Amino acid sequence: MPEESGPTAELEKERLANLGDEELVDLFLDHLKTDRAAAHLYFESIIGRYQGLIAHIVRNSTYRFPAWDSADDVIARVNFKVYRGLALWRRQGKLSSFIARIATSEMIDTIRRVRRDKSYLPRISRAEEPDSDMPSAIDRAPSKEPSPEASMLDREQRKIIDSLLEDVCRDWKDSVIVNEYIIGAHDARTISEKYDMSEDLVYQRARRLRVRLIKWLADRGITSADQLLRSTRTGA
Amino acid sequence: MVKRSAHPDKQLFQYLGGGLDEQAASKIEAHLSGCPDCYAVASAVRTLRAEAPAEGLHPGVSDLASFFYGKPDAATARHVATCASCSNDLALYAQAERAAADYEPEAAGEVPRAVWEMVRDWEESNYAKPRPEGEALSHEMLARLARLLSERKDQLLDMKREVIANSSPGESPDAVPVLIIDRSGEFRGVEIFHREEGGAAGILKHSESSGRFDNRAVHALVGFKDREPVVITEVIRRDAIELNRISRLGSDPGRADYFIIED
Repeated sequence: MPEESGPTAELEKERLANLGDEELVDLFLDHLKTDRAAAHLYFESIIGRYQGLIAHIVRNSTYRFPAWDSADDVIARVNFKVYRGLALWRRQGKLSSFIARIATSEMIDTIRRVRRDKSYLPRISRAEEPDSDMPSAIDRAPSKEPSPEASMLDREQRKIIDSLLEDVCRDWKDSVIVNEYIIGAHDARTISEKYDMSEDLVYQRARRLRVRLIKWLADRGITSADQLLRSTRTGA
Repeated sequence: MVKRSAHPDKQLFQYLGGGLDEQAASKIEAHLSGCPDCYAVASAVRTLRAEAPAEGLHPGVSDLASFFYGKPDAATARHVATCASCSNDLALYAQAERAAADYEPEAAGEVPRAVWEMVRDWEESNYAKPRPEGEALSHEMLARLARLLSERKDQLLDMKREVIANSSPGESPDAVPVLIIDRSGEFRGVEIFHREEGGAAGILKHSESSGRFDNRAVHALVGFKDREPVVITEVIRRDAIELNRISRLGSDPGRADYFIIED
């Protein structure tokens, strides 16, 4: 933590406050290996400007943090990762965008880590107690193992569906529109708000996806679901 | 052949999602019977709905971020198209990007203290992966633990008494309150462990009401001997902590107070 105080330090802080992001980042990187105290001061000036953005991204999420990993922890890790990664900031993009990306990635990483932590899942029933006489959910579940023939067919079907999706979806917007609009049947307004795109864009993309889908099917002579699935068996 | 402009683009997907009233639905059905293109699309979408939940591992967070920020990746594109969770993750990037575009940098806000701890750890480790080793705790960290111990001593003893008071007659649980500290030295809470037989000096087992330490990385168990902090052990990935390692330090586990430093 920068420890300087007094009038000189205040003047220096004021000077830094008037510098642009790029100048500050350059100063930070120049001093990182030679003068850590100065580098810390420059970093504090940079990241201090974006505390509001980081807090907004982390705290505005509907995700509920567990007791052992609070929003404050995530915010601290985001700050640290910005410190570690500032050299990777490409100047053609805004620094706010670079920081938003790090903050969001850290959020997603946290959410995934907690989901993997089985101790965070609430108990489902008494049957889950280790000494319970009741059969557990696992015991009650029917076998999910398909026959070897069925699993081969499943794999082949999956392959053709994967190939269809890979050819039709060209970027993230295509993928989420296939997911939410075409498969999920959610309305365009909800999708536009969720993914920050216009409603018109949702319709426009859906039309384009439909055209690609028709072409993909026509190229393979597929006109029905039966044929689509059969094509997996014939390798179409 | 139906003219391109006559294809019911919006309504077709609404129809397939069951979102049209009867009258509108019958119009689409009539169209489908005369339009092979739309019929093929409807057929394919129905197949996708029936067959397409995403399989396999989710793409890594950095791959997902790269995909959002414009790097084409067929495997991620295909996965996201059928994975609700990854699609929701992309929504987080979209919302953050909007917030970043609208953001006006403000007067410098305070940087959390924990950040400087992480920075210092990283610099002291010569810019290695920032993960503290259990036995490489700094003197400053140990001093902080000692301070925390004296601040929380009463709380620890009260908890221990409460556990003993609530135990069944004839049962004498050896309750061990454990302070949980994060890697930057911030206090996270107190958890009750129970000392059990096993090993040379027993085992600390976490209370049954919580499986919190299952499969979690515990960085260090720190004990105090004659008021001097000693690091007892390092990373353990179990809900039970074997205390027999204490013996190599010649400490008395019965008199130790414990901290767990976790990631």
